[in-house]
Amino acid sequence: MNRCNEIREELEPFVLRVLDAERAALVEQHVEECAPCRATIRETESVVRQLDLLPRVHAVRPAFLHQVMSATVDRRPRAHFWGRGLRYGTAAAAGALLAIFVLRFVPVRQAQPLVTVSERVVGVESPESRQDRARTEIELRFLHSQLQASTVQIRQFHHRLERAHEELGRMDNEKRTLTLASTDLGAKVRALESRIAEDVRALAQLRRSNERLEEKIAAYRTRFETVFVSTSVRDTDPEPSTSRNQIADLLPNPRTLLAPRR
Amino acid sequence: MADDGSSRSFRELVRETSGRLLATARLMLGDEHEAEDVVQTAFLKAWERWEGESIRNYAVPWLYRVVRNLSIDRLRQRGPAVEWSEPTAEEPGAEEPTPLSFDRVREAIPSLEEPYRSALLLRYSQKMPYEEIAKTLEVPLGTVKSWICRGVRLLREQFTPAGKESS
Repeated sequence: MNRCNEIREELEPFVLRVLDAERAALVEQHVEECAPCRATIRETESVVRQLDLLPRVHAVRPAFLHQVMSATVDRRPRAHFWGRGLRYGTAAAAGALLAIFVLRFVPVRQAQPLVTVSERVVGVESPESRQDRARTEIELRFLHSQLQASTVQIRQFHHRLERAHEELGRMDNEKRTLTLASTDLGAKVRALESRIAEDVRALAQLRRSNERLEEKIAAYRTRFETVFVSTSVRDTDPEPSTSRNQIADLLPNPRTLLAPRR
Repeated sequence: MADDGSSRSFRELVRETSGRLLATARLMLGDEHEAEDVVQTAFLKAWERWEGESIRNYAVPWLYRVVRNLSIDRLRQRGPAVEWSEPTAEEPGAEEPTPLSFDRVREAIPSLEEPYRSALLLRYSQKMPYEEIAKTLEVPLGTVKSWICRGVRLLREQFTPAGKESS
């Protein structure tokens, strides 16, 4: 029992294989002959098996990523923004910038007749100003088309990502089910192995018992032969009172002796 | 001002680590929304230090540490941990060991004490080697091993009354 108290502190390190070789050998030796410590080891192994099933990665919602990016890298003003083109991750920022453009230019387009800054000053729109306005409108239309294209792409990307997440979730569930099934199967195999070991032990015991019985039978036979010979020699009566068969009847039946005991 | 290179590297960091950090925070707190709050706050803190203090070389362990500390703060704000519900005496089979299942282990983790909870999560959820855990939690290797063994024992004792008696 004292040994148990000493060893118990080392059962978890033993299961987790953080014990040095010398101590591990001592624990192993003790555990072989101590059922409570063996049970504790089995329970610890079971806890560790469940811990091993903990997920390493959690599904990341696209909206969460977007929030993080918006609060960090996308918050800072960026140089040469349009030069790098639209990307999925920055499309939202692009939308915001475009909205500013639209808010700035749409009222100008809606005013009838169209009045530009230069018209307010001189009353007539200069050719340069008209060209600028036309160029700006073309740029705006181009940006709009780009925005629409990237919005479609973002939507497709989100759909793909959601499908991938769903697939990942299904795979995680399958993996968990399989692992649990494998754990159950392992337990069944271990139970079967322990039953086989018990049967083997019982068989060995039976064999030993049979050997002892055979020895007893041999001894009986020897005794029988001796009794029979001495009776034959001693009997001078032509009709002996004890025959060989009568003596044999007094001996136990070897078949009965060899029958397995329940 | 962040240049394109630093923004790109930060984006990569967010994409690569957010799933793992969310898993850790989710297991620590047992709540998805709180886990997202904690991880987002950790990324904000990392972005503030991305240029000046240059945490780039040790960003991942740094983030794990911040997520862990923020999660501990949240758990403290919640008040005392909810006790594990042992079967009562009236219940049939109250003396029987509580059946161990993955869900019960996962649910029991937020109620574990620190630092055992963090050490167990880094080891079994994040599959970190002992050395990496020691680096992340900034403690000696032997301490990490001892915390993990103790954490496993605490969990075992929750599920197996026999284990409690034997230890």
